[in-house]
Amino acid sequence: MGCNLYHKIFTTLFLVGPTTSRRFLFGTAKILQSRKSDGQVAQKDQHRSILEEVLIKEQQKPTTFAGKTAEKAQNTFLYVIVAGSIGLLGTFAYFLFEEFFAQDSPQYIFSKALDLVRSDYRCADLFGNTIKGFGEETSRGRRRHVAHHKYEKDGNERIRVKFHLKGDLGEGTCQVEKEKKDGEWIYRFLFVETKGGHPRTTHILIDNREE
Amino acid sequence: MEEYTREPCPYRIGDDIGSAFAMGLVGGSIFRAFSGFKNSANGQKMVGMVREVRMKSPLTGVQFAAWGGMFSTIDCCLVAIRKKEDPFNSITSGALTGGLLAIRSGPRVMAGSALLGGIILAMIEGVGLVTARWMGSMMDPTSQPPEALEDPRALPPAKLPSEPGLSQAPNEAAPFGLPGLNMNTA
Repeated sequence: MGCNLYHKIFTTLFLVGPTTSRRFLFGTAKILQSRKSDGQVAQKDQHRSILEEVLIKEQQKPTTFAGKTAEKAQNTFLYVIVAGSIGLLGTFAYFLFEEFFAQDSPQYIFSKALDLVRSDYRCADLFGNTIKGFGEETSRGRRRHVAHHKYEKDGNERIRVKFHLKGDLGEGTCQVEKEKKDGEWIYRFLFVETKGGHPRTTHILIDNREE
Repeated sequence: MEEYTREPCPYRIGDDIGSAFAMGLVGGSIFRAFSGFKNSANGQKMVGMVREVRMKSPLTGVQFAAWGGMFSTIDCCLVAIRKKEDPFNSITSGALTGGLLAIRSGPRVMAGSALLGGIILAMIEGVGLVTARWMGSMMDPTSQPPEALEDPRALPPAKLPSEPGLSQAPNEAAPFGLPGLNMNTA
């Protein structure tokens, strides 16, 4: 029975074209209803390729009550699987959307801060005209993860984000902190620091701190 | 002394091709072993299985390697063009890879394949985000809340809270390290 189920999913999802995918959406049982008599089957079979002959095995329509119930149960189970998968995909999509567009997500802050750094003349003096921004490097050579720390001080939520900068003239880091005040995330500070050379040069772009 | 790590980008393509091939080889071996066992004649199950694995799983590996290499190349190109590394790069390159690898099947298949590639990569990013978010709390539910950070030392001391109607100018001109607050209120 299990093998049968997988075969059904496989054929409906991967092997057949849009017409049968549509049939899948409206119920797998319709595949079986579509051929009433042997003559129709024979006529239809003329258009099938050898590969389809071998791979697509049509089942007989169940005639008994138990068989019909089993068929319905199987279809319901498939629908539940599809609905669950769609829900799971929706959850992931939501988190992805939030990562890109939420005010307090590290990616969003990184993106906005990098724009500020790029439009700053002093930063262009320090690093060069084209500044590359990236996060922490993993062992696989990916640098997408931006280091961040969320904490709470004096009853206000804060998030500090640190990322790396690299230009033609030099490298450095940028540290940003945002604070949630009256429901709005505002910059607390934003500064860049060169890396490597001594002494380090610090250039402060934004400083809204208050003791 | 200055540079301990080199830029990952052009070299990462080779790494990705290799790891994708290994992944495809292992996964392909498992699946081909099942299908080989099922499709061989009785009495020759083991031989058929080994032959199937030997002949077919490197092909799966090569397909994976093509995907991985193409993906990594496009990812590196996007990094070079956008000068920025974020999840958007990998989603775009997933879609482009899907489309470009199906280029011989015509525009319709390309569009579908590109959509599928983009969705798969977006979901991988989404899974990564979800696990990164939930792992911390699931590992140790009794953990302390994140500690408050001090301001970085690179910054000058924070200015005093501004009062309405008072200029900040005498504040900053306080001589001999006298607290600015006294000067202000005097």
